[in-house]
Amino acid sequence: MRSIARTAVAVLIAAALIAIGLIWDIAWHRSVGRDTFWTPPHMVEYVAAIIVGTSCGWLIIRSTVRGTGLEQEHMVRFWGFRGPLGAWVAVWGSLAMLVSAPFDDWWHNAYGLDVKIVSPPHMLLGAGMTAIIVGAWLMTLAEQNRSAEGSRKFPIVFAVASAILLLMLVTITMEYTALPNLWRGRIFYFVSAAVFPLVLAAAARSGRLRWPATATASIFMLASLVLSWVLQSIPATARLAPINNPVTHLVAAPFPIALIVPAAVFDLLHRAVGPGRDWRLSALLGVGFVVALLAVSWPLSGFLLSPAAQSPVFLAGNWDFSATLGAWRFEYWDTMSGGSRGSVVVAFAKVLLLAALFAAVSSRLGIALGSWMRKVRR
Amino acid sequence: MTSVTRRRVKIAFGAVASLVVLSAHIGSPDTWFAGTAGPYPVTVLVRAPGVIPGLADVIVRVTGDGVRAVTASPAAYNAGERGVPPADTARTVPGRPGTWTTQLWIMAPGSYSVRVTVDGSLGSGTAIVPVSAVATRVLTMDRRFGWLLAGLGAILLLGAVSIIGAAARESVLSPGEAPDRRMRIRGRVAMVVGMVVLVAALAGGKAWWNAVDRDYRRSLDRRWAAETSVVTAGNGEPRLRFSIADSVWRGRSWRDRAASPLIPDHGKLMHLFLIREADAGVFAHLHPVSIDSATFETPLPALPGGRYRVFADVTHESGYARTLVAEAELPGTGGTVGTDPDDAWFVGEPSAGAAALARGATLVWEHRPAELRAGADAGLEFTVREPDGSIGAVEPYLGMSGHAVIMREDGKVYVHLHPMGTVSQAAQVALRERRPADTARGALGRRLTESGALAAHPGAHQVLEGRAAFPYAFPEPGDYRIWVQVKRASVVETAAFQVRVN
Repeated sequence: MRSIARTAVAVLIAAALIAIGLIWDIAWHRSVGRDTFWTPPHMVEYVAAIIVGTSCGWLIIRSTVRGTGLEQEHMVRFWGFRGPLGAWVAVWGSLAMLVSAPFDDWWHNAYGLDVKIVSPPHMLLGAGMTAIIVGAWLMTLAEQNRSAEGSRKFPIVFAVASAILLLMLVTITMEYTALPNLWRGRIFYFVSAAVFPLVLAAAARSGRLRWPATATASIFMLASLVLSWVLQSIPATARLAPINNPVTHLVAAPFPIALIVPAAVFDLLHRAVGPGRDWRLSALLGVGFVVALLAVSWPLSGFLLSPAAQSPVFLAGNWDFSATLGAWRFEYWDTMSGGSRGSVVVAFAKVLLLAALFAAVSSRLGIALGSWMRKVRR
Repeated sequence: MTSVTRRRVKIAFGAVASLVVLSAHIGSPDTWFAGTAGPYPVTVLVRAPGVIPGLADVIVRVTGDGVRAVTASPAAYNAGERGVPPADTARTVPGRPGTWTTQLWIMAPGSYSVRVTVDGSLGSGTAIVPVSAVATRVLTMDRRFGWLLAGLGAILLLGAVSIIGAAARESVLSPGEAPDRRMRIRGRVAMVVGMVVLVAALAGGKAWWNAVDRDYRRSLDRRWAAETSVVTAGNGEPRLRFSIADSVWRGRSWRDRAASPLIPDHGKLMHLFLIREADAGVFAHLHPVSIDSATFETPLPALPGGRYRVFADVTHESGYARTLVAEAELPGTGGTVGTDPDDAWFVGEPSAGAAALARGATLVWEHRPAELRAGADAGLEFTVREPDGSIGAVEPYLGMSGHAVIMREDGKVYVHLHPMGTVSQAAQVALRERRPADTARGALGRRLTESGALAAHPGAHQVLEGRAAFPYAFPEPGDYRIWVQVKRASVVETAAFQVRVN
C-alpha cells in the first residue's frame, strides 16, 4: 500500500516537472529561439518521463509478479498486468512521449525545424505530457479517496495535482487567454469558459478539502507566479534572426488569470445547491464563472496595463525577441468595436452569454467527471 | 553536417533522402566560395540544409598562420543590421589544420549573405558569401521506420482503449471486489466509444499531416517555366529567343511578382548555355539581351542542328542566383556574326587531361585526382601551357581568369563555376552594397548598374597568369562533362573534359 502512495508522489513530482519543463521551454522559444534536443527545458521533460517510466513500471511489474493480495486489490487489470489506473495513464503518457521523439525528429528532417508549435508529433507529445499529469491526478485522487475521513494529507496533494492540470491547460491555451490585453475581448471568455470550468467543477465535486476548487486555483496562481518570477530572472540572449526586441532574460509567462475568484464561486455554489441537482448547478456555475471572471479580469487587466504595473513584480515587459515593440503592448485586443456605445455593450453581453453557455456545458462535464472521480479507489 | 544529419536519418530511422530539382544551381545545392576575408585567403563551403527552417553547415578553410577565431552569421538580404543574429563561433576540425566549421540557422527561404569573419594576428576581415537558401529535399519515410511507428502507434491506441475499459470496469469498485456483468458490459461499451473517438482523432491527424505535406511540397523551390524558339531576324539570320514563361515572373504587375528584378552579372543580364542533348559534343556560352522583362534574344551562331539543353543563369537584385532550364531545337544554320564578343562555342570531343588550344598551346588539368568521388574535393586546377611547357598568359574573360561549366551527362546536375566559386559576383556586390533605404524594387539594381559596379571588368589589356582553380565537389556520382573557357589574344577559347565520378 505504501508503495502505491510513494509511486503516486513520484508521478506527481514528474507531473510538476512536465509543467515546469513546458513553461520553461516556451520561455526559451520566446527568448533564445534556438531549439535543440539538449536544451535544459527538454532535459526536464526527459527526466519527468524517466521518473514515470521507472516508478510506475517497477510498481506494475513488482505488483503483478509478487504483489500482495491486498495491493492487487487496489489495482486494475491491463493485458494481464496489475496497476493503479493513474499509473497506467501515466505509463501511457511516457510511452507516447517516447514514440513522439523519433516521429518529431523525422518531421524536422522532412518539413524543417519547428515553424509551427502545433504539429502532429507535438500533439502526440502534448497528449503524452497531459496523460502523465492526468495520471498523477488519478493516483493522488485514489489515495485521497482511500485515506481516512478527515485526513488532510492526500486531499492537499490531490489539490496540488489538480493545480498542475490547471496550469497545463492554461499553458496550452495561453495564446488565447494569457495576456491581460485579451481580458476585455471575446476569445478570452470563450476559451476560458470552455476549458477551465471542467477542472474547477471536477475539483469542487471530488476534492475533500473544505474549499477544493479555491485551493486548486490558489496553488495554480502561486505556482505560476513563482515560476514566472524565477524564469524572468535567468539571463538569456536571442540567437535567431530577426531580433526586433533584444531580450536580456528569459521571457516569462504574464501575470496569471485570477481563477481564484471563479473557483471560490464554484465552491460556494457547489455547497449551496447540494446533491442531486447537477443540471441546475451546472447552469449556475456557468453564469457564476463568467460573472466572476469578468468581475476580476476587467479591473485587473486595467491595472496590469497601467504604468503602475510596469515592473517585474507584475511580470511586465515579457515580450518575444521577434516582437516589434509598440503601443499595442498597452492596448486591449480583440474587443468589440464599431457602432455606438450601446451596441458595443449589447454585443459584448451576447459574447458573455454565449461564454456562460460554454461554461455551463464545461461545468456539467466537470461535475460528471467529478462524480465518477469521487468513487475512484484504484 | 547535412551529410551527418542525413547519415543519422539513414542509420537511425532508415529514412531515404532524395533530391529534387533545384533552381539555384541544378542538382548542386551547396555553395562554394574562394576569396579573402580581409588579409586571409579563405575557401568557404556552405552545405544546403535541404529543408527550411534548417541548419546549414559552414566549412571554412583559412590559409595562413595566426588565425585565432572564425565566426559566421547568416543575414537575410533585406534584414538590415538588426536582423542579424549573433555570429556563431566556428570550431576547428580535428586533424585538418586551418579548417573551421559551424552551423547556421536558416529560418526562411531566400537570399542570404553569409558573413564569415576571420580574426587573427593580421587583424580581422570579413568575406560575404551569397547563399540562395531554398527547401529542396523531399524525405520519404522508409518502410521499416514506417512500420515501427505504425506498430508503436497501434500499441498506444490499444493501450488507451484498454485503459478506458479498465477505468469504466473496475476503477470505482471497492478494493478486492470483482467486476460484475453490468460493469463488464460498461467497460466494453466504454472501449467501443473510446476506440471510435480515438480512430476519428487519428483520421483527423492523418488529414492534417497530408495538408502539411502538400503545403511543404508547394513551398519547395520549383524550376521556373521557360521556353525557347528560333526566330528570323530582319537580316534573315536566325536568332534564339528565350522567354521566362512562369506566372511568378510574368504577373500582371510588379506587385504580383514574387521575385526581385534581375541585375547584370559580369555585365550580362543572362548567361545562356546550349549543350547538345545527345552527346554533349556541342557547347555554347551566349549572352542574350532583353527584349522585354521576360524575353531575351541572341544571334544564333552556326551550331550543328538538333536538340539542345538550355541553361540560363540570372541573378536577382536580392542576390538570389537562379538557373532557368529549357530545351531548344536548333535548325543547323547560323548567323555569320555574333553581336557579343564574349559569346563563344565549342564543337568537339572531350579530353581526359590536356585539351588543345590555338597556336599549339594546351589547357592542362593539373594534379587531376586518380579517382574522383562525389562529395570530395574535385581538384579542378587548370593551366594554359605553351608548346614549350611554360605557363601561358590569359586575359580576363568576363572579369575572371577562367570560367567553367559542369554538367552531368543526363543534365540533372549543372553548375557554372568561377575561380571565386559557385557564387554570382553580382550577388556579392548587391549584398554588400544594399542600404536600408533600398526597399523599392529596382532601386539598388539601378544604382549599381549606373555606378558601373556590375559591369564586366574591362581590361583586355590586362594580362593574367594562365591558371584557374575552381573550388567544387561533385554532388553525385556519374559521368560529367566540364567545359573550361579562357580568353587569349582577345579570343575566347573553350576546352572540354570528361570525368567519371564514383
